[in-house]
Amino acid sequence: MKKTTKSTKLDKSKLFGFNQPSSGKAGSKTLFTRPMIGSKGIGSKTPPPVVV
Amino acid sequence: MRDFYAFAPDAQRARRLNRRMRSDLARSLRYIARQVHGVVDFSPTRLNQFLANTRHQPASPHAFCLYHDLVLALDAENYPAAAKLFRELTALRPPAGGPRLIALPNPKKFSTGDRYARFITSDSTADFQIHPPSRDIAAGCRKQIKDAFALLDAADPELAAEIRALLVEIVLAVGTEDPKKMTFDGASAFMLWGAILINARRRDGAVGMVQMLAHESAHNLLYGFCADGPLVMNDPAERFPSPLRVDLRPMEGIYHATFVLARMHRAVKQLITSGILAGGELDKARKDLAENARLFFAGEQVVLRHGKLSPMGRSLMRGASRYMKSAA
Repeated sequence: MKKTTKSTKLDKSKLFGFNQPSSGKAGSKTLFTRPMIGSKGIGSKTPPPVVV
Repeated sequence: MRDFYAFAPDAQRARRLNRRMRSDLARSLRYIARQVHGVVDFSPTRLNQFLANTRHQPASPHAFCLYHDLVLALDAENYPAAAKLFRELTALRPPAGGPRLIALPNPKKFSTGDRYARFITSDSTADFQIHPPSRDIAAGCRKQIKDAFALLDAADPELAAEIRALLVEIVLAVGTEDPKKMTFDGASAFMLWGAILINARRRDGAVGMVQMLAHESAHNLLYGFCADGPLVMNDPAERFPSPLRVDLRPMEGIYHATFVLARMHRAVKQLITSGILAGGELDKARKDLAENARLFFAGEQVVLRHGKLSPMGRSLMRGASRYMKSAA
C-alpha cells in the first residue's frame, strides 16, 4: 500500500443509504450515530439455503 | 401507464426497485474506490467484476452490510479494516434465485451472522437479542413459510411474485425467551436490503406467516422507494404512539407500521375471498383482518395528524388509505 496524504473523506451525498432509518420492528437509527460494534472474524460457511 | 406508487403489489416494479438499489450501491462503490485509490489496498479487477455482476444479477444482502461497514471503516480511517471489507465484498458471488431460507449464522462464529444481527439491532432505543435458531425450530418455521407461500401462490399470486422479486433471503432467528424482555416477531433494515429476519419461534401457522411475509416485504418495498428521498420530513427525535408497538416511535416508524398494516390486511383479504381457507384458519383470518383494519386506522390518524409527508410519502399513503377505505 502506498503512503500518501490523499484525503479519504467521503462526501455523504455520494454514499448510499446513509441516514436512512432502519425500520419495522427493529426500530430506527441513523448509521453515522450508531455505536460502532466491531465485527468478529471472517466466516464464509453458512447453513445450506432452501429456496421457496 | 401504471402509477409507480400504486398500493397493489407489482413484481415488475419490485424488480425495477431492486435494480435501482444495486445500481446506487455500485455507483457509490465506484466513487469510494476512486476516493481511496492508493490509500486502501483493493483489487480494481475484482471490484469491476463485482460491479458487473451487481449490475445484471441479484446482490446478496450481505453486500449491502459490507458496503455500510466499509463506509464506517473509512469514516474511522481504519484502512486495514477497509481493505479487508473490500476483499470480502468483492469475493461475494451473486446469490441463486430466491428467496433462500437460511438460519442466522452464529454471530459469534461467522461475520455474516454478526453483521446481520448488528444491523438489525442498530436501534439503541430497542434492546432485543437475536440468536440462531435450533435445528428443530428452524425446520418448523421453514414448513410454515413454505405453507404460507403455497397459500399466497393460490390466493394472491401478485403478492407472492412481488415478495420473490424483493427478497433474496429470509433469515430465521430467535429472540430471548425471558418474558420480561423485549423480543421481535420480524425485522428488516435498509442496510440489509433484500433480507428479512423472522422469529422462527412463531406459532401462528401459515395464515400468520402470510401476514409476516406481507409485513416485512412491505418494509423492503418502502426502503426501495425511499432510497432517493424520505417518506416523512418529521424531526427523527419526535415520538408518537405506534399502532404496532408499546413504545413511542418516530414518524418514520409510524408511517412504516401503518403502510405495512394495509398490506397485511390486503393479504388476509385475498386469502379469505379466494375461498381456500376453512375452519380454524378462516376464523383466524377473519379475526386478523378486523384487527389489521383497526390498527391501520389508528396509525393513519397519527400520520394524518402529525406526519409531515414528502410528496412520495403522501402518494404511497394515499394508496394505502384508499385501499383500506374500500376494503375494510
